[in-house]
Amino acid sequence: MLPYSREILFSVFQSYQSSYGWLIVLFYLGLLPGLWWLIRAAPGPVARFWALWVLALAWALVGQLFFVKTFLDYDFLARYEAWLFFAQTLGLLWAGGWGLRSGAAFRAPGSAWLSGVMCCIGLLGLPLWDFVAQLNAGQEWPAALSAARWFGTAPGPTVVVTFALLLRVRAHWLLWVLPLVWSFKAGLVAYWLGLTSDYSLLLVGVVAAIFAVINTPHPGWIGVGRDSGRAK
Amino acid sequence: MVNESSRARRRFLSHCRNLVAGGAIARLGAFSGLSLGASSLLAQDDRFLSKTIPGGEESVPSVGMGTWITFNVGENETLRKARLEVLKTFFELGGQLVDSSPMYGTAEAVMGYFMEQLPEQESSLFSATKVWTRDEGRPQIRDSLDLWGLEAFDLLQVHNLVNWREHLALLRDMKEAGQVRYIGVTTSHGRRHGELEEILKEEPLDFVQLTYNIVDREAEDRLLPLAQDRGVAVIANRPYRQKQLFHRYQSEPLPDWADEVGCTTWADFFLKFIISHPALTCAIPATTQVEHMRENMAAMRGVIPDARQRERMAQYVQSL
Repeated sequence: MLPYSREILFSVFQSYQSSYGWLIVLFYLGLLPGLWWLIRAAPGPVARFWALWVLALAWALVGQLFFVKTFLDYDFLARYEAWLFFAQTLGLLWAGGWGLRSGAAFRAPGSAWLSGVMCCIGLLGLPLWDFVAQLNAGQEWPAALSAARWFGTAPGPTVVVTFALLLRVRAHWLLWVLPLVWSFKAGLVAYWLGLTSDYSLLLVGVVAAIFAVINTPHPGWIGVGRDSGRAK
Repeated sequence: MVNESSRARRRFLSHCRNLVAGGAIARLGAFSGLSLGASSLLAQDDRFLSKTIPGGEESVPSVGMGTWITFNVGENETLRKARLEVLKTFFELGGQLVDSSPMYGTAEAVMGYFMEQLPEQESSLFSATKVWTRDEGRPQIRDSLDLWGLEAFDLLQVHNLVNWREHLALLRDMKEAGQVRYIGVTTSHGRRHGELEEILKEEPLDFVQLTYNIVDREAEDRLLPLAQDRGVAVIANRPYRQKQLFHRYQSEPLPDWADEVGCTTWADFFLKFIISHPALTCAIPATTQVEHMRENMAAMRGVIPDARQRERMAQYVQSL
């Protein structure tokens, strides 16, 4: 069903990341600790705004640099997948702006542990999994590191970190739709390509969605409670 | 325009192959359109099953090559080197028909790069690609020609019947203008067989491509007999169901009587079943490995099953 194999997929990531993908990865690795500190120190509307906008940038970069500039040569569906990523970019930008106006902040720390676990999976777990898989496939370590999929350059880790953040912010349920669509698509790709690591995306999506629904005090707006969205 | 000197040379070589192998036709049974070719070395003891394209004298080896997934390797040097060896082996063992499509990502560009590396094989290549767009087809066909580095394709097909009325009209015009030698339509996964049947009945085609293998035999009921009646060559795609047949049956033993039908591997078994159908012209398995290419090409050599043996083969697979 897909016009590429697992071998080709990782060779694409390898060449993409060797050219300019590493700049993006390093940019985010530098930025995220600062963002984490900001959220911890002052989990108010400003931190929420920056978190969503940084995430929006990641979705935009994956849409443009990965899907349009790189993967479209290999898979005609990349054109449509890019549009999904651009749509989510707009959603996240809008949600960030809305939060500043309404004073929405981060949610109560009940979901913090799960969000933290998901952040670790997206930022480190998935790339490490790819790295080890590539080493096992006979790649040298620099090539294996380049072939790994990273937050901000590859869709999978970006989606996982998005779930992590959505668990912590008050945002419209529509922001959940595309990440969930992607996590189900990742499950299918995992099956078609025999890519065990990508079943984790499906699992993360399902767990995040269930947790979000359970913790939603008001149907329709995940995380928007009667307190006008202010942090408790 | 088709380069006439190149075409003439190709036809001459094809004719030579058939002359060399002509003596063994009777051994292959009573199927119409069968002939034996030989590899590019023209060795007497290396004969293989070729099939005549209906309506003419040209024949093609009954095993061709698909490029779906396998040749979509972009500019990765390691993967390109590996695939080039696969293509070299294909030509060395007498292969000619290579099928691709604009839908297959970088496969056409990779194929063009390979033909630059193998200029001596240009006369062997029977190039088949597709037009696959809802827009006007000519720009896409021009792009495909650039990517393959060819002046004209041997066969142009409408991919998965997309916008087929407009594209077929264009392909007919191109054929009349001598810009392509054969035209056809394709389907896959057994989809839209009803529509394909109508097209076969109403449209003048040279080729039709459909899914046919030892477990997907729906085409036997109406499409294959109709193609035969209408004098249309048939290309079988998904001969292994994209590896599924190996995953399912490779752990099982071949039947005791496998040697009676000339089979020593499951690849033999699956491919010989397909190419021995009298209506079938060519099967197009895709592979990334030289060894698998050797197995594929071996299937068109040796004993070719007759109708009774074919049924026995299908029943055996069903029984597993």
